[in-house]
Amino acid sequence: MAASAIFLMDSKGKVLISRNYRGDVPMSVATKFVSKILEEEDLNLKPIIQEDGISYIYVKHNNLFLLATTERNANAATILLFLYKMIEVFNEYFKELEEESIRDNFVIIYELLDEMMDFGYPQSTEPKILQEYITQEGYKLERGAKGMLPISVTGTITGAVSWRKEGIKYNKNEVFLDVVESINLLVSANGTVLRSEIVGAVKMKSKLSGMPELRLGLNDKILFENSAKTGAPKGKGVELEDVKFHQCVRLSKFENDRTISFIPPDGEFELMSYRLNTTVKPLIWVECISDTHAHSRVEYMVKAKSQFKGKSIANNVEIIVPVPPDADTPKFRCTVGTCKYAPEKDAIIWTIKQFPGGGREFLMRAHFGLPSISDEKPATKPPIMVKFEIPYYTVSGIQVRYLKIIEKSGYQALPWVRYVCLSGDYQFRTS
Amino acid sequence: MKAGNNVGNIVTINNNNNNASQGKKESYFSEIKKSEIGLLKMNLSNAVNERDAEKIKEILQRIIYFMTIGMDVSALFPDVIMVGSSNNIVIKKLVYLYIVHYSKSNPDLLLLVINTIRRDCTDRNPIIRGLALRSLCSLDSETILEYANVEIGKHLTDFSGYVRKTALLGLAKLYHLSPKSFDLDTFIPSIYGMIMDQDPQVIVNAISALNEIRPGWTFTFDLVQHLMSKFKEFNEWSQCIILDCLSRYKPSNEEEGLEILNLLDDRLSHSNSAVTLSTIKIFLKYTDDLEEIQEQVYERIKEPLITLMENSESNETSYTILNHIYLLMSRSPKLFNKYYKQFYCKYNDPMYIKTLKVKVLQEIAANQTYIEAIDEIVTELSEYLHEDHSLCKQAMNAITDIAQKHKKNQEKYPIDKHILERIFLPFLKTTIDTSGGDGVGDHSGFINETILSYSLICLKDFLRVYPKHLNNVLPYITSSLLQYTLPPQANESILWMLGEEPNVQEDTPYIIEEFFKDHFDQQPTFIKIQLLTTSLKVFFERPGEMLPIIRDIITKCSNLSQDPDLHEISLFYSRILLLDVEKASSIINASKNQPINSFLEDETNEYRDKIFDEFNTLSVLYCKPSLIFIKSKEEVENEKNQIIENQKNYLLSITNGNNNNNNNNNNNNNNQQSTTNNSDSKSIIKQIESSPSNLIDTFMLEQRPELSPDEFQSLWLSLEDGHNFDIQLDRFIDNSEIESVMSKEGILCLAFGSVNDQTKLYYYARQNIVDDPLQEQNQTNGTPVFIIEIIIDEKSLLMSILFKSPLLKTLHTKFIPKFLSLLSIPIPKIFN
Repeated sequence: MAASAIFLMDSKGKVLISRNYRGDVPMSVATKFVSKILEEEDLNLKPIIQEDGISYIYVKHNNLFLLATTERNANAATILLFLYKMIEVFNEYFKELEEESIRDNFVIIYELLDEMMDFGYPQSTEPKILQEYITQEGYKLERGAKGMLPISVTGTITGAVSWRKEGIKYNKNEVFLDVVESINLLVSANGTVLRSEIVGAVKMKSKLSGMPELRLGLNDKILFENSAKTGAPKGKGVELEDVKFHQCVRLSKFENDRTISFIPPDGEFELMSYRLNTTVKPLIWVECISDTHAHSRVEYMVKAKSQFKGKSIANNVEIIVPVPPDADTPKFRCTVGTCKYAPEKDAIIWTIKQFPGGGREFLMRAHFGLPSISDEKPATKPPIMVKFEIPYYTVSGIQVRYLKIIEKSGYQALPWVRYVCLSGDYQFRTS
Repeated sequence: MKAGNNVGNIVTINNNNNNASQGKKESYFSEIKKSEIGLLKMNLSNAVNERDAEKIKEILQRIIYFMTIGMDVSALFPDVIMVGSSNNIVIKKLVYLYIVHYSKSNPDLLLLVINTIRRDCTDRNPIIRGLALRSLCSLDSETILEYANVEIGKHLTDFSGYVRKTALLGLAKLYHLSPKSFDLDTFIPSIYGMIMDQDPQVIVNAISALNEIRPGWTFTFDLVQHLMSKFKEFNEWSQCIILDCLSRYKPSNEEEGLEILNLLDDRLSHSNSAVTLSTIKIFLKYTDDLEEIQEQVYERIKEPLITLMENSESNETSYTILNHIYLLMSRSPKLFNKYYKQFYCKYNDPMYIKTLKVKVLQEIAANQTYIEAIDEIVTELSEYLHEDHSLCKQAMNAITDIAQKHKKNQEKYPIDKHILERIFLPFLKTTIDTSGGDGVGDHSGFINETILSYSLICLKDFLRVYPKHLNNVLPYITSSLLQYTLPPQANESILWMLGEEPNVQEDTPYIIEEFFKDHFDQQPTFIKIQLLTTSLKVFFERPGEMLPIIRDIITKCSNLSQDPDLHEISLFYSRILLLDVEKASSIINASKNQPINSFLEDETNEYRDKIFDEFNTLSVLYCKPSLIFIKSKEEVENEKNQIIENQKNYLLSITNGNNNNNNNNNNNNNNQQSTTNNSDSKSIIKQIESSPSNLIDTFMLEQRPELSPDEFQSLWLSLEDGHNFDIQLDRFIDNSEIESVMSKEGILCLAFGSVNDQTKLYYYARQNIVDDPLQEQNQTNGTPVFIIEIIIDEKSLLMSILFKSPLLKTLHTKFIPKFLSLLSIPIPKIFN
């Protein structure tokens, strides 16, 4: 660990804000970093570079560079995560972390940098808790300075439940659960599925008072097998592979009896994520036949077919078909939806607002002119990308069986559950 | 998951600047005028008199803004510290921020702040106590040590955890500030004691403090138990730190180690990649001697690693994980065999990820026994050939490497044939097809020269392992290849192939002839050598056809105007040809048709074991052990001392002439030439300058350097202090005296003046780099500017000189000696 200094820089490498935590690396290294970044070709750039015994670990965000330097053999993963955490915290504070918001809020950024890291060691980074004592106005705390608040505040900074402060109060206690599955798919040019996987996440927004204990029941296969032995009612289970949880979940309990119990942070967070490597039938299948007549025209015929159940509907389907960068005079014809030529992406975007399931097929034809003289540069072959979302549907079949909320005041809280299936990295390669 | 898929709305605090700052927002961005500081000073004192907290805050914000953009507002130091006694916490924070920033340049004034800080250390608000402590220890000055020690000592037992955790890291800061005056006997036991604290953050900071003060300390068994029982209470960062220490801990026996691992098992399912990696490190360390269990560990960790790589929303994290996966494969090569599809490149992956994925795929395929999988990987890799240059090259290399690795299984699985037919030959075929049609009916458009050249280059390596395929390849090596602009390596490969089997391609002699006539002159030497060798090999097989041209080739190559290497080789060849053609043939063809079974580069990297010890650190990402890229403390010290030593010796040699030459060590043997009886330093300097191998002979300054006052100021602010010197003067020296000497040598005066009985002189100089091509190659990053501040106290006649430069080494070894020797003209006393 132990980052020496943190820099926030604009896209040209001008330092907007810097904080020197350890003083072991001169602050002038920022310029060295910039010249290194600028002289290196984009393609060869790595997120972690090293020169003269100093390591530069950086991430890019909205045309900003967030840079951490260290002269030790530090733990790269931790520093990277810390930089991302910084972005998250700043976003909570200023809505969007960008050059302008940094300039407008440099005082707060200094304050935050001071609390989030000390002598190169990360301290408290929970945005909700930081907001308790670093506010835009700075008034809040002054008032409390003579009362009891500071003690409770410092209690939460370092308390046992580091992600939740005490004394949260809502008039209406509610929990929202979103089960979001995104499908990653890679299909080769000849139509074989190279790779398909489901990456799922259970996201939660909690608006609960006090210190509630939550228990979440899923149709987890292992759990069902266990309960089947003890004679509990049978059901269809889902085998979750490699589940990962938010730090609030008591992992030991999950290991023992597969119950997911936790005290949730306030507000929004990702409770758990999982991955399923089972081959699923691609939900939307796309085939594209292109016919290129060099120096005159190129024609495309794209066929899209739904392969999910008839009851469901895919919303906002976008099929993005790449075309040569020098194509012109687009003409489209499609059985459903709208087509648009997006020259900035060198692609046709075929949008279908509602795509019913159950094997429906749609066709689209496109025609482009090609210039008579073309540059003889070999074209790369970008894939066809597909975006969609299917509400009330999960590929894995995961279901929330129950969500129990127990709080010592005994209030009733309403859980809301939604399911949605999204396209992740969904690509068809072209020949 | 896409970051954009956030559900619901995040509660955010609106970005509402309070009224005060809104009004002034404009001026934050406007150019700063010189008078601004004076204005700030005035406004600040007015606001203080009016006791208007809002106004003070607003002015402080402006000051901090100037500080942030690199403008020097240190002149306001006395005024700012006056405000520090305010009760407003935001004002306090701003004041402390300012003080910490300028503490180094104002060590004397710090004493004025100490009282405020000490008062704040007893404030009722723990946040203020923490703030005061943190700032106190961050003041980069030894003046505060005494006070800081006292305050820290008091607050290690503060009732607020926030203050205690701050105090602990304060200890670490103090230790770094001055290890010598650190009271180990008192503090170390208290730190140990605080590991048993109630507050998790205090515990972790205690551990961090020990890591800083006693690097290499290890946990005891009791401590491990204690920490493990509280483990869930720590936040993720703290868990990382504890896990890191735990990886240094050596369990007393196998069972104990396994027990700890059991407790940590659930950490592998953590969504934080840093925690997972730290845990993996412990798993690997603890099972290092238990082969069977380690196998299980590998099995256990592979899934989490893949998930982390896949799910990570940041490419940077995926990159880190991928690097670790690649490292693990060196220990357990078959570990990810089943998962090869996870490493297929996505179209929008950044290049650094694609590169790594190709490396992983290559490794998997090389250690794969499952034939379909190898096939699929090769097919996948061939997809990347159409991508960017570097990826194309890498993929081609990977494919070739896979073919070489599976040489042993070629009976069972003729991968060489597959690859040849599917990858290499199609590209070569197109060259013939298109040239046959004279490039008119090109429905495929054009030849992708990148792929063509890389496939040619790799073909050479491929054929060295599988020489039997030369017969299949050579028919496609025709003169039509010469019409493309191929990189030299590709041409080399073509020539090499032709030389190996001159009879297969009928046109061989004519291709060589064409190449020789049309392309020879612009080729680099190694191609010329290859051409020479190839023509000889062809000559031995087909003397009749080669004879007309071979003489020309040898004559041209042995021409003295050619590269000496080529010249020598061609002379050698022509001589052995004259002696005995048979013998010559056996010598030149010696390496022919002897398949190579393994390439030296493939041998395991000797570092890998060392890197393994440093799992989850930067070493893994750089693929080299930390010894190589981290400078140890001693090294840094040594370098510094060396420079100072050099300088001392140099000065000695100037002042004492030959008398002291025997004191000089090897570091400055250059100086030993400066032997003379003349004790007049001025003339010695001249001698030194005229001797060729001397230190300063290559060091020249520009006669008329240019540096605007603004540039000077920004340089002055951005650079660390280079070196400073104090000289007690006998009499007051006027600037004109110094300037007259300096300006002759290109050291110019920027400004001078007298304030409060202090005369300040600013000089600058710029190195004439053109005259010094060799010396500074490594340091071209900085501008070779030297800036100097001379302050003469008019009362005590103490002259202090401060040098700064981006090129510290040159500054110390070259510039300072020169400057001082010049200064010795008006002030001869310097060298006495």
